[in-house]
Amino acid sequence: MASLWEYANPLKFMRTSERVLPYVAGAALLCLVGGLVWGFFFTPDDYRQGATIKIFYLHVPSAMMAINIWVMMLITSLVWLVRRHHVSALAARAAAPVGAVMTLIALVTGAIWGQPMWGTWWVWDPRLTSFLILFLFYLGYMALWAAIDDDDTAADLTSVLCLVGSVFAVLSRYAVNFWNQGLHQGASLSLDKAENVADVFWYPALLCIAGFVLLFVTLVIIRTNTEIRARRMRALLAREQVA
Amino acid sequence: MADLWTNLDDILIGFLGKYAIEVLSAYAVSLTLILVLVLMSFSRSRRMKAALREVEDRVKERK
Repeated sequence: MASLWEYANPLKFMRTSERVLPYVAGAALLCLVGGLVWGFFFTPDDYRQGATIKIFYLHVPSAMMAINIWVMMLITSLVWLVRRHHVSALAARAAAPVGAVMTLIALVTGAIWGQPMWGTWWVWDPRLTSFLILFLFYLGYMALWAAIDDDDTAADLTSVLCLVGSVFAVLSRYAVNFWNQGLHQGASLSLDKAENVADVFWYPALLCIAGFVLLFVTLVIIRTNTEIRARRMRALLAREQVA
Repeated sequence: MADLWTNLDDILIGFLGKYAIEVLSAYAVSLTLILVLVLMSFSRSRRMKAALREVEDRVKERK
């Protein structure tokens, strides 16, 4: 069986990822359109939240992705720090804008839902605040990559920033449990059937989550390949200048 | 055209009730952000492929 480290070779990574890309992108489109149409048009209103329950199909998957993308960046940053594989550092760089957009969607849809349900757009609640800080970490991470010319130095420094930011990724996930205060409720989705949302909302939500995960994989493949090409181009231009 | 929008408004407000504006704005903002991200990713990928091809061709010619 082929070793996972074979994909640390940029050429091998690009060839393999470009072969699977159409399937992943197609599955992402099917799941996203299917889940959102199902959730928007074919589910009933909640007895307390009314039609605002439909925001759940965007808010929950995007919030889950916001945290998990940072975890993916943490893993790839650690791989870079330990094994110095460029593809892993570039994959973390490629994932950051996707994570930032997911965090922004979670913040905006949360605020839009909060206004009619809580009576306020925003409150300095532990989960909301840690999510805002996570968003700022995403922006800082992207700015740091853009600010440093040398790719390896940028990868080192952003990896360290990623380790620090992981505290807030964990806090955003568990803030409700840690402090048990604020307006934000506990997790809506649970493997425990008694605590989980009703099946009528759960199945379309599951399809939306799958859609968001596949969309993320699609975008990370495209963006990582772009970063690999950009790195190769910088190396060729540098060699040209020396010659 | 104005009639079409009025009818669409009536249908959506009838369907989503008093929270129509909140739900529609949440979907509009989210889908716009996703669309912009997808378009930017594809567009940068295409530009980078072309730019790299150009540099590689130049390097090959020099050899």
